[in-house]
Amino acid sequence: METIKDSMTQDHRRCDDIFVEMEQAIVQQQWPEADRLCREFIASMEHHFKIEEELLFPELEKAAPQAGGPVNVMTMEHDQMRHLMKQLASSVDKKSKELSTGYSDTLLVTMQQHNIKEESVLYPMADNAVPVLADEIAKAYAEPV
Amino acid sequence: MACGASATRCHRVGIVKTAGLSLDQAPPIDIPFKFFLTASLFSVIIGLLLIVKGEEVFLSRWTPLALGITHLITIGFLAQVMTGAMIQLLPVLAGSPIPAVITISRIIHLSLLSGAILLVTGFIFSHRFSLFAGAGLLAAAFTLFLIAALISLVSSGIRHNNAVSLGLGWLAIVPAVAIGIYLAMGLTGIASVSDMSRLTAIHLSWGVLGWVGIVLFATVFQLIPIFYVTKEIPTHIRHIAFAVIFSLLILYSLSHVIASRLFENSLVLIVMLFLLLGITVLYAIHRRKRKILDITLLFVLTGLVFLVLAAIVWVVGDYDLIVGVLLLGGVCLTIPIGIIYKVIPFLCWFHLQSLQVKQEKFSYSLPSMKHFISDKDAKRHYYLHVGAIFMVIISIVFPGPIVRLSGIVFSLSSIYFLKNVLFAFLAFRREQKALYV
Ligand code: HEM
Repeated sequence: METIKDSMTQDHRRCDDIFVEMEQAIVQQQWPEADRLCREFIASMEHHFKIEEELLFPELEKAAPQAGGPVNVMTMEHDQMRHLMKQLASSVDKKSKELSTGYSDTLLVTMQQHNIKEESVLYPMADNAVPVLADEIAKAYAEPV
Repeated sequence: MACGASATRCHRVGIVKTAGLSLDQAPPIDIPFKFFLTASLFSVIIGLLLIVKGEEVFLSRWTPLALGITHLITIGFLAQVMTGAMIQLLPVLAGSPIPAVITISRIIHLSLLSGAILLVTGFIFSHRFSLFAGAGLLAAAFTLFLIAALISLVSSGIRHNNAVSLGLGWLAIVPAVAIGIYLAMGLTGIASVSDMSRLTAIHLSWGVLGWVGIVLFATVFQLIPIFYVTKEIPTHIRHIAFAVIFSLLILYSLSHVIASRLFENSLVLIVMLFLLLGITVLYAIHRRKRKILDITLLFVLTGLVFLVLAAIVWVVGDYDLIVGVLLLGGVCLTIPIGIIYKVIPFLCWFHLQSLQVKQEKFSYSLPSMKHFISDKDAKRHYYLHVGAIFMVIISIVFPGPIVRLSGIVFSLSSIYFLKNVLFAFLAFRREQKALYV
């Protein structure tokens, strides 16, 4: 059976993969491709955030009040990333390589440090506190974005 | 104040322990900037010394000037960079801030700064008082830092995986400084020290391989998955490698009192282990998903290649000076510069972002990380820096007027570094002001 950590981590890697493709398209200034991948990337990220914010985090906070602090930090960082994604999308719209790589780079660092914290602290915590969610989360990810 | 720009949010999150999750607990951004700017000033001094006294420096590694420059790099540059970065990083790793961080870091910064100047003047002018005053100030600075770090770690009660490796690396500064002071007593005739050259080798092994080597690799291991999307190097491999290196350093130190081939040869094993770690990182970078060659990654890669070169030249034979330049200039300057070029822009962006939330200025569009240090500026510095290192090596092999030229290039490179860090700070200030109005 897949743990919460397994499903969530796999989804991080899936978002990473799309990001890497998108970044490549931006650097090579293939704008239609970059635009398509940027949309796909943002949709994947939002899908991931949604499962966390609407399903995992509320249940986790209910079962383990001490998770409240970390959950707050994670939600805050989701908002940071949403903001950056908006800036990225508008730079890709403007077909500006300089602006786009600037925001994609910033997004990448924010995203990676965020993922490492979730994977090493928050998800193990969730697997302990709310193991019953594992199936539901795995199913949610099996659905197309 | 430990919460920096985002005190309100820190308060909300801080009610429950954030398990080191929040960069919000980072100290004010002026602190790392102050340390990094000072480090860049020391590297400018190295360049100037090469211009003025170049020929003398490379006569032998034992000239007062060579010893002065060695410590300008290790104490002037590296100690500033490494403590500055640690003060910033510790609260994040440990989840609890350093006590009275502003005052403590001001004291540490000033004693490192004045200690380095005095120690180096003591070396260059063979001035006994200056040498010991410098050594004393440095010992005080490191002691204060270690105590503050320990308090932060203990009071948080949270064990971050990487804190163990970093702690081991920082522990190595204790024997390095203690033996350094003993050597200084031998050098000035205060104590009669037997086998100075062996003891010097032990001193520099603790300093360069133990302290710089372990701290630098622990940092690189931590950061490459975040910055360049490489696979993580498994924690137990890192822990074992660092523990073995530390133990071998102890064995090697024993060779000063007990004549034993085994003890002497532990140094070879340490070098081989670092080579292995370097190759592991190179491999992880080679296999990374993200194929873009970021300039900061180019610095790190180049530093690792210099490490491999240094090990090869060291094994081949009697080229101490070249090994020294490859190791201190090629590895110990290049890798930290690469990391700084990624860390500074991220810190700038992060602090501004927190401020934006606090000020609720969501209509204001923050610039990205690259606004603070652009690729173009980092790349120019890269060419100057690598050019300078190669020219210094050439001037060791073919002594002559080229030494001065290498000094000029090294100075330009250092000034460019200073300019990049300073402009990043000014850009940060401008954005900060825009968010406050
Ligand atoms: C208070 C701190 C320190 C003092 C008082 C000190 C003192 C000394 C002295 C007296 C020597 C010369 C020995 C001789 O002439 O035989 C020396 C050499 C050396 N020290 Fe230090 N040291 C200190 C810190 C460090 C640190 C932290 C590092 C490295 C990270 C370091 C790296 C070196 C190196 C590489 C050499 C050898 C230079 C060469 O062989 O050309 N020192 N030190």
